[in-house]
Amino acid sequence: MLFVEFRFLFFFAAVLIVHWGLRWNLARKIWLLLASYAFYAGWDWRFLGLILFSTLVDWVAGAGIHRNEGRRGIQRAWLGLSLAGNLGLLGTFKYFDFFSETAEGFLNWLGVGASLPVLNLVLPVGISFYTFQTLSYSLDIYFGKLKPARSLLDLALFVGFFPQLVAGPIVLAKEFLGQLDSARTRAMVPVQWALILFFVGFVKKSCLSDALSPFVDAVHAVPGAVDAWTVWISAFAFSCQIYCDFSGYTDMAIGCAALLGYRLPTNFNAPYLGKSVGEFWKRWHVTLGRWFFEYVYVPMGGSRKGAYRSLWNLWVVFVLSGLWHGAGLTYIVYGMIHGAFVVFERIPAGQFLRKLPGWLQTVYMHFVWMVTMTLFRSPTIGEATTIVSTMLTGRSGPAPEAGVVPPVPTWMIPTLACAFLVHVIWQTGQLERRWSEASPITFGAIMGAAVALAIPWISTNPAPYIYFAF
Amino acid sequence: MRPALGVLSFILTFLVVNRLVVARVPLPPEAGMRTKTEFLLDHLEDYDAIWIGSSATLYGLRPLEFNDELAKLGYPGFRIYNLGVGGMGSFETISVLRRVLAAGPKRLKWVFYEEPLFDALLWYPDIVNQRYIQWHDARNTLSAIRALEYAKEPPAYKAEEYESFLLAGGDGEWRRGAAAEHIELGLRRELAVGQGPRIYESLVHEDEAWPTFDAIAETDGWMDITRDPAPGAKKAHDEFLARPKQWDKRVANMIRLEKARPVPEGHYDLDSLRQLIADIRAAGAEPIMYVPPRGLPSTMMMSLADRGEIPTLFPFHITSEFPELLPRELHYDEGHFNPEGAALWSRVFAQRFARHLDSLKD
Repeated sequence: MLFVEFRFLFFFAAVLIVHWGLRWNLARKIWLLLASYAFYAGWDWRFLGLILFSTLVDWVAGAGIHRNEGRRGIQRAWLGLSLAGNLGLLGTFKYFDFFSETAEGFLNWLGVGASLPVLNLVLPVGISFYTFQTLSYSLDIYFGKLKPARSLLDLALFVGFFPQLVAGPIVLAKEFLGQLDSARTRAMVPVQWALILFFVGFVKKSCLSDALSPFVDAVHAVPGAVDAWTVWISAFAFSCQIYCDFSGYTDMAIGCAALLGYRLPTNFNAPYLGKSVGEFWKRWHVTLGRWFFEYVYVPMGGSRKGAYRSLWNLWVVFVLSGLWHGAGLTYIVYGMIHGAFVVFERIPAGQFLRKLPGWLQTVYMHFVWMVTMTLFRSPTIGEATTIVSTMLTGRSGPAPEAGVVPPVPTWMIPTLACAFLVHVIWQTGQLERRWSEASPITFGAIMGAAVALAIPWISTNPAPYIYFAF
Repeated sequence: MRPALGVLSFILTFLVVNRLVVARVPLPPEAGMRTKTEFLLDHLEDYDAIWIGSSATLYGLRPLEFNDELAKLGYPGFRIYNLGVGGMGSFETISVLRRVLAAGPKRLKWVFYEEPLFDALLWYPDIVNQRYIQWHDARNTLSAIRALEYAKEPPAYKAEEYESFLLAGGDGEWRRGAAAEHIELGLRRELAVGQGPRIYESLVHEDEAWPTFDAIAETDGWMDITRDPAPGAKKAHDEFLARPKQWDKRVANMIRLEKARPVPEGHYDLDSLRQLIADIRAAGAEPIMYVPPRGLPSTMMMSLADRGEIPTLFPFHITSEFPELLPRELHYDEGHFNPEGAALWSRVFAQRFARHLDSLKD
């Protein structure tokens, strides 16, 4: 069940009505947990077992770590259990086949005939998100930043809370568990703000991202046979598509959670207005960057061990972040390149970038982003290389048959221009504030008009969320 | 109280804006649907009659020849418009016709309506196409759902889609699946789902529709099938030429089937037919139904005419009545006349209509 599907509106309306109809916090939490599991079971009920497993492992590990305060060795053992459980889950379902096939290929290249096993497992939706969330729970207890959840129910709801279960934002235990301690009141719900956010997310996904998808798919179906101009337009279209897709989902997730009385962290902060690759990553998928910073970069030494070690740590974090996105060489190389750019921007040789005019810095950031996103979008390094080669050299193969690559719809240009304008204005906070503070009658009228004007732009070919694959 | 007013203002504004948006949705450009309809609406007071129907009408009936022949037979100054559109079924035809009648034509006195079968099944595999969405206004959607009662069976390609319904309740249960399709299309139309790009293209005149107004004005709506840009038309023609005996078999088969004339017991939506006739008459015109001579039997129409449900029927498919329309040389493919055949059918049509007018004088 996708947030943009009609049936989700019914599901969410039912959840909302029952949730606010219940008087006791415990009953509400049980209801939300059941609803969350039902939501996830809509994809594949069998994988509910993995969420339960991950929850139980961290429930036990968290308790073990807390019980042994002062005994670092035992605590490490309990943390090891959490790491082994969650990363083992992730490794088995997401990375096993990739590493097995890569190792087999490498051994064969060395001349050692090898046949390593592959599992051919289906990737459970959202596994990268919820395993990172549960890990944050045990890690924060280990680092002394958090006390264990009051009940298994609280922890299960933190892990399984349906608005953020399948594609984030990656919530930290310390920012969510506290919200479960007391009953949410209606006064805590910024209804108009939440509805705006939900609506904006819906428009991003259904009206923009899904409309761009067929064009991008068509270009990637015939890599190398498309002229450079079309490839650049496709790269621009994909950068718009992925932003609208992912941030749209996040907006809807935050809006849904807010309507239930819960606050989720911000995940996007106008990334395309960034002036460097480093700044971009502080604005894009903020909660993933935060997770890696807190639980990988800092424990590795962060910037405490000198400039060179700091840069190395930073680069490693980017490589791991690339790997987090998917089990494939393309993602690893993607992470390596982004890490290299971030490192370059920090060393003296890269300082000249800061002296460029602001708009040129943004152009540079977009250039890097669009070129490297071909790695993200392409299934193989070979395909990505072909496309990047066309982008950078202007040379392409023979033109595909007429109609293979559909023309960029002209309506998309004014639509994207409007969307960008709204995006820039949105960042000032003026629009959001005025809209959410309007009287109910004015707000109702604005929303009525906005919904009626948005519906005609809903794509009739909905595509799955890109980040569901991670 | 204030939140309730907010919800109310949401609903009201939504409805107002939605209606404004829906009103801006252009007609589908396919097969001449848009330009042919809009041309007629722009020249509504130029015509005494219209032909409305499928591609058999679009390619087969030439207004200028019809008018000339009618003038020779004592009815000068008569002018007819060809509102045939390729692939137009009964409900789509009604939808277009209602649009024309709603414009309040004063001169229009005759509506020649091609074979009203009220087939409620959606025959194209892709149900989400503009043509289907367009005719699913609330009234047509309800009519189509009601007409499902008379549908015999789902088309073969739908069998898998309707499998659960077929298994669930046996005969007739699949209709629930078909009804759901109609409801979905109705909602898509009433909410203008996905119509934004089309509205935009229409506003900036990007969606050039075929044929042009100039081409329509030259022939009063008739299109020369040999100039049809659709690849399917040429393909059908080549197949027709490649199998010369096929047409003879088709005609022979039709002669055999003409002898059977079952009275319809169910399997026909009489309510929709009666409503159609009432709508045309309410606009001050008289309906005349006709069956094109395309080598297919139409026992249903004949039975309805026998029962008096169809006030006037011109059965051009009856081989004994109109043998001059049968020669293979007059046909472009199995379903359509070539330009010469179209000229002949138009004159024959005029002769049949003149006889009808004469009979009214008597």
